Amino acid sequence: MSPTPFREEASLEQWMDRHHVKRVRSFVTNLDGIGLGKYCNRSKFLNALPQGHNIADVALAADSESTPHLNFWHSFRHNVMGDILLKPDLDTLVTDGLDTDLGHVICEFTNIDGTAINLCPRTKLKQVVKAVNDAGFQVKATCELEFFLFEDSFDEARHKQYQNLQAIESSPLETIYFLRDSYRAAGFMNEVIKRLEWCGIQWEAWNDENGHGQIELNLVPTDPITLADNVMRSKQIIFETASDLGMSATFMAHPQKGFSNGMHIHHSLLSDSKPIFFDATKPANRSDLLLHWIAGLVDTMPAATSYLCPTINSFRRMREFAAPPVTATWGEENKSTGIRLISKSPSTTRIEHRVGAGDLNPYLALAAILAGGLSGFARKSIPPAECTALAWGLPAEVPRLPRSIMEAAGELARSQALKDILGDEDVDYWIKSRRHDWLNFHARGNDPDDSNPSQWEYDRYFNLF
Amino acid sequence: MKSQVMPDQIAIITMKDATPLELVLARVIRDNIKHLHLTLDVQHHQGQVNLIAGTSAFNLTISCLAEKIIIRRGLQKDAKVSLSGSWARSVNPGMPLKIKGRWQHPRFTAFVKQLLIQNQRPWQVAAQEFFECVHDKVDVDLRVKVQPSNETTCFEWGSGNEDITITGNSSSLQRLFDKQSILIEEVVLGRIQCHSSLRTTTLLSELTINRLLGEL
Repeated sequence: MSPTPFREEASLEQWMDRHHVKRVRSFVTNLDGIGLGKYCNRSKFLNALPQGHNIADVALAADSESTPHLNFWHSFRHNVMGDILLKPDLDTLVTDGLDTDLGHVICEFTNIDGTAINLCPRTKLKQVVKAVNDAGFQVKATCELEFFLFEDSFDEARHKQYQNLQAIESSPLETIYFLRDSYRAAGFMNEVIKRLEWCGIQWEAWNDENGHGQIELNLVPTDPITLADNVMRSKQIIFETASDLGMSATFMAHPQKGFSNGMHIHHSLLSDSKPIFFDATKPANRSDLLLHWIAGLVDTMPAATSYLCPTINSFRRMREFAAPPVTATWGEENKSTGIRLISKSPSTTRIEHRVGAGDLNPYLALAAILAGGLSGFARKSIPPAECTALAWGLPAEVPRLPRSIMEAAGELARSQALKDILGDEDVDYWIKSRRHDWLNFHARGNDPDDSNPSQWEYDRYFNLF
Repeated sequence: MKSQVMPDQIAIITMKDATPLELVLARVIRDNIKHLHLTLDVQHHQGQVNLIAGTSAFNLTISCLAEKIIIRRGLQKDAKVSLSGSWARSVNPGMPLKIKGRWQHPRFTAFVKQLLIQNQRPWQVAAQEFFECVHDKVDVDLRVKVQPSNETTCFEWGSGNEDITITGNSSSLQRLFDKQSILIEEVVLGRIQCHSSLRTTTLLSELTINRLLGEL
C-alpha cells in the first residue's frame, strides 16, 4: 500500500525528514485549560498513528494540582486507573523554530479504542462547531489575549510569593496604549511574535494594556478550533519565552490589585463565505439571525459564566466599573455590557463577548458561547432591550452575573439550553469540578471576598495560566 | 385520611420540617419495625404522621410530632393517650419511658420499648440511612460490609454484585455516615479504609460531599 501524501510530500515520514523532525511534542488541553503532553521519539510517534500514544485517564480527570478527581465520576474513566489516548490532529503538526529537531502537534483525548471522549475540551468544541455548521453557518472568531509581564523570573516570583513583582512598564500608573510602556516590552514581544509565526499563528496587533505590566495580543480571526489551538499555543509560547528570558508572565485572571486579565472573544457567522449578521434591509443593519443569536447569548450568559470564568480567581475581576461586565446585557459599541455589538459594515459586523477571564479554557469557552447563540437561533428568541446606558452602577434590582464559582455553577446546572447542546453528563462533570475547586479553596481557610488573591491561588494559577 | 401500607424500603417517615432528633427517632422506629417484622399502616393527618400497628396485640397508633411522640392504644385518633414521651427519652435507653397507670401492662411496655429504643449502635443506624440514600441516588448495586476496628459488631447491607468493605474506628464511621466528613478525605488521611472499585469510591465520596453540603 502506498503511503498517504502529506502536505505536498509523498508521506508524513518524508515531510518529517525534510523538516528534520526527530521528536514530536504532543499537546492536549485538559478541563482547566492547562496544556499537557509528552515529548515523543519520532518512531514512537509514527508507530502510534493514527490512534496516538497512551496517557493516564486521570489526565482528563484531575484538578490543576494533578490530583485525580476522586469525588465525582465520568463514564469515560476506567473502573481502576487506566490509560486513554492522545490522538494527534496531523493538520496541526508544525516545527519548532528554536529546537530544530522538534515538532509540535495538537491532540484530543480519546478512549483506548479510538472513540471520542465527549468530555475532551477540543472534542466538545468540534461537536458544537459541527452543530453550527449543520445549521448552515460557519464561524469566524478571535480572542484578545491579556497577560501580565514581569522582570522577575518564575522562580524569583515564587520565592517572593508573587508579591511586589517588577512589572514591565515605564510608567508607575495604570496607563493604556502608552508607547513608552510598550517599548519596554517590545524585546519580549518581538521574540514572542517570531515564535508565533514559526507555528503559523497569525497576529494582528499588541499593545500596552491598563494593568501594571499588562499586554494585550490580538490574533487574526479564524475558525473556532484553529483559534482555540492558537490561543493554547500562544499561551505556551509566552510562558516559554518568559522562561527563556528570565522573566515571568501570567494569564491568571486577577494576580494583583487593579486591572485584571480578560479574554474577550469576538465571533461572527458566515454562510457561503458571506457575513450574515449584517442585513442592510433591517433596522440598524441587524439581521434576524443576529438578534436571535444575541438573545441566546444573553439568556445563557449567567450559565456560560461558569466556563468563561472558571476559577475562584476569575471572579475577583467581576466588580462594577472595573472593566469586566457585571450584567447579562448587550449594546452597540458598549464596552460595559456583557455583549458588545459592532454592526457598522458587513465585513466588520461581529459580537464581542466580554465576560471571559484570562484563565478560561478557550475550547470550552468557545463551545459555551456558540451553544448559547445556537440555542437562541433554534428557539427564534428575541433579545431583551438593548442597553444604551452604562451597564455598571445599575440599580440593585437589575440581576448581576454570578459573583462566585459556585453561583456560576448553579446557573449552569439550571440551564437546560446549554445542557442540551453541551451534553448533560459533561456539563454535570464540569460543575462538579468547579465545586471540587471551591471545596479545596475553602478547606484551606481562604476567603473569596478578600481584596487580595490567596497564596493558594498564586500557587495554582500564576505559573499554569 | 389517606392510608398506605408501609413498604419494606420506606423512606424515613417524618414531616418536611423534621428536626434532626425526629429523624433519628424515625430511623430507630423504622429499623425496629423491620426487626420486629411488623406491618404498619402510615397515615398523614393534620401535620403529624401516624404509624398504625393493627397486627400487634395492642392496636397502637404512634404519632410522631415535632417535639414528642405520642402512642395511643386503639386506632381512633381520639383514643386515650397511652404514652407520651420526649424524643430525647425515646432514643436514650437509659431513661425510662413513662406509661400511664392502667396501661402499664408488662407486654405493652416491652413492646413499646422494643419499638422505640435504639438497638443498633449509632454508627450502624447512620450507615443504614447512608446506604439507603446510596440506593436511591447512585447507580451501583452494592453488597456492603462495614467493620469498625474497635468493635466486634459489623454492619452488612445490600445483596448486590459489587462488594465494598469499609473499616475504621466507630467514631470515624459515625462522622462519615452522619454527614460530617468526606469519604475520600478520610481514606487519604488514613482514618477510614474503603476497599472497592475506583468508581464506587468516587460515587460514594460524591454522596458524602452532597450530604455534608446539605444538598441531600
